[in-house]
Order: sequence, then C-alpha cells, then structure tokens
Amino acid sequence: MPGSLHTNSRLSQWIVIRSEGRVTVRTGKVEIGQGILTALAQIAADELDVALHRVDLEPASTSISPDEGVTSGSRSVQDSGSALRHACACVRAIYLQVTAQRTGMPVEAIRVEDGLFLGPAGEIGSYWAQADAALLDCDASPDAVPKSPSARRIAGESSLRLDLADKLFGAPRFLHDLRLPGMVFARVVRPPSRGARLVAPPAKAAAMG
Amino acid sequence: MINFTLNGHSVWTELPDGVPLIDVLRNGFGLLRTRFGCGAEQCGSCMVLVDGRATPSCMLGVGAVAGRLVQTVEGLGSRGAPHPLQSAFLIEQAGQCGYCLSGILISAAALLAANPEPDEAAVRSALDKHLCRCGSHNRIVRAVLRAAREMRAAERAVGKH
Repeated sequence: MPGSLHTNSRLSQWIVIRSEGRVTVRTGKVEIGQGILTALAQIAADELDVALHRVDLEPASTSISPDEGVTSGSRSVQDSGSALRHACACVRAIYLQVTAQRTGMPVEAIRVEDGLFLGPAGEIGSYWAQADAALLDCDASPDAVPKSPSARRIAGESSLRLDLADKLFGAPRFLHDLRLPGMVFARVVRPPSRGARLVAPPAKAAAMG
Repeated sequence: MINFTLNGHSVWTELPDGVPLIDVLRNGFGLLRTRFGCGAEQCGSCMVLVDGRATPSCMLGVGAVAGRLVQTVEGLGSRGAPHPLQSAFLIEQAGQCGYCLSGILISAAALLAANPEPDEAAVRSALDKHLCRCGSHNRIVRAVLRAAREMRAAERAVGKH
C-alpha cells in the first residue's frame, strides 16, 4: 500500500464524503508554509473528480487524523500524497460500484464530473446523494488504480494556497495563538553571564488575563 | 493608568510602564496578529504603527505609547474589507508560513502612507528590517508594488491627488 496508507489503511481515516456537496480530507501532515494542504487538496480533487473548492483539508489532529509520524524531509507529498491518491481512487471505485449496482449501468459507462455520476443520458447519481459513512468504513483495496499522470487536471497546476488568506486576515493558525481554559505561560530565565546564580525568582508579572 | 488609542479606539491599561507593548496587545487586548519573533527588535515580526511609524513592540514599554495612536494589523483590514495590501498579497501569493506577514504588512502600510509611488528599491529598503526565512521576499515586493498601483488608481478614480 502506498505511503502512509500502509499503516493507516481504513478509508474513513482519510476521506469523508458530505451530503452537502463537500469532501473532508484528513492528513497526518502539518501545514508549516510548505503548501502541503493545498497540494493534498489538489491530489484528492483530481482522483475523486470533484472541483477543488469542494475539498476541505482538516488540520492534523492527534485525535482523528491518520498517524503519519513527522512532517519533515520533504516527504509529505510522497507519504501523504501517495496514500491519499490511492485512497481517493478506492473511494471513487466504491461509489462507482454502488451507482452501477443501483442503476444497472456498467461501471465503464459512468463518468464522474465534479462529484456527479453521469450516464449516456445524464446524471444518475452523485457522491453527495449517496453519501454514507459506512461505505468508507473499510480498508483500502490494493486493486484500486489511480489516474495516470496524463489524466490529472488539477495537480500540477498552480492553485491558490488554502492557508494564505487565514494568515493575511489573522485567523489563529500558529501555536502562539492557542488560548486554552486555565492556560498559563512560562518562559525560561537564563543566566546573564557565566557563573551567575539565581538569587530569587523574578518578580511575578502582573496578571494579564 | 496609561491611555492610548488602539486601532481607533480609546483604551487604557493599568499594567506597569515597562511591560512590553506586544504583551499588552496580545495578552491584554487579545489582539493576536502582532507576532513575537526575536524579542530584540531584530526580526520585524512585532511591528506596529505608533503615530504612523512602523515600530517594533517587543521591547517598547507600554508607557511609551501613552497618548499616542497605535495601530496593529487588525486595524488595517478584514476579509470583508481588505486593505489593498492584503488583497495584493493574496493575488501575488506572497507568503509561505506567514509568520513574518503581520510585521511586513505594517511596514508596507507605513511606506505607502508616506510614499504612494515607491519604486522597487524603496520597497526593499522599507522592508529591510524584516526577516522572511521562507524566502517569499520577491513575491512580497511585487505585492507591495501592486498595492501601491491599486491605491493610486483608486485615488485617481475619485479625483484625489
């Protein structure tokens, strides 16, 4: 299984199809300015055949995200991207199968465009109308085949960074902005010169709330 | 009691004179967009406008702004009513981790208020005190120049000189 799919093999760990026409993508990689969330959104949009604006990248959370270890070494597209590409290919195949069974249309005759499933006569279903968490509560299949590179239309093109607007308009995206109930602040006090000894703790700072 | 104007509002604090302005802004007033970088006025992350001048806030005691006009990034613009600089930075995709951007927006705003037609050298000089370790400098310079053009065009459209 490619990348982090090997150790996080359930599809529901990576993708949630939402009936309101959006896809939630989860990753264990952290956005630190390298643009990984945008890259992963592009990969997911391509493999699922949904418009990029429908993809919501959920920030990495130890409680719900796939555990991909560290974010480092320029490995995120390789580890998370390859996992996500394969997982999305699985999701698309599952939903195609469901649509084929429901309509009697052979899988090969169904096109997927921006989340809609289209037969020769038009729309026969969609991710949104058929959204069901149970469908993805299974392991990724090694048989799913992601698109060939020549079929990609979103990955490989310039996309606006998903995180930049937040950073320009001040949404709290840095650890320094976390404010938890009962949170206290600490800092290291260092000796000003070699051999200096701490005689007494620094005077308490006025309460800042 | 230290009174000053913060983003257009009259405010006060009873914190001691020597408490750094950045701590008052972030922890006292909950304005989190002014960023702590080096704590030594070397990196530019913590810039705010004091009486229109870009000023580091990490060592400046709050007593020094008594009676003055302080403006933070929060006072520049919002998603609904962006400052031309914010719009320009988005169009030019001028940023990566984004940590330096608050300080840079402040210095750029001060520059454009004083010099509506800067050339590239003037922009680079105005931003000289800012460190961007991610390397977005050239995009940032393009964004500031773009914002300057947009602001001049907007003024011409309403007949200002």
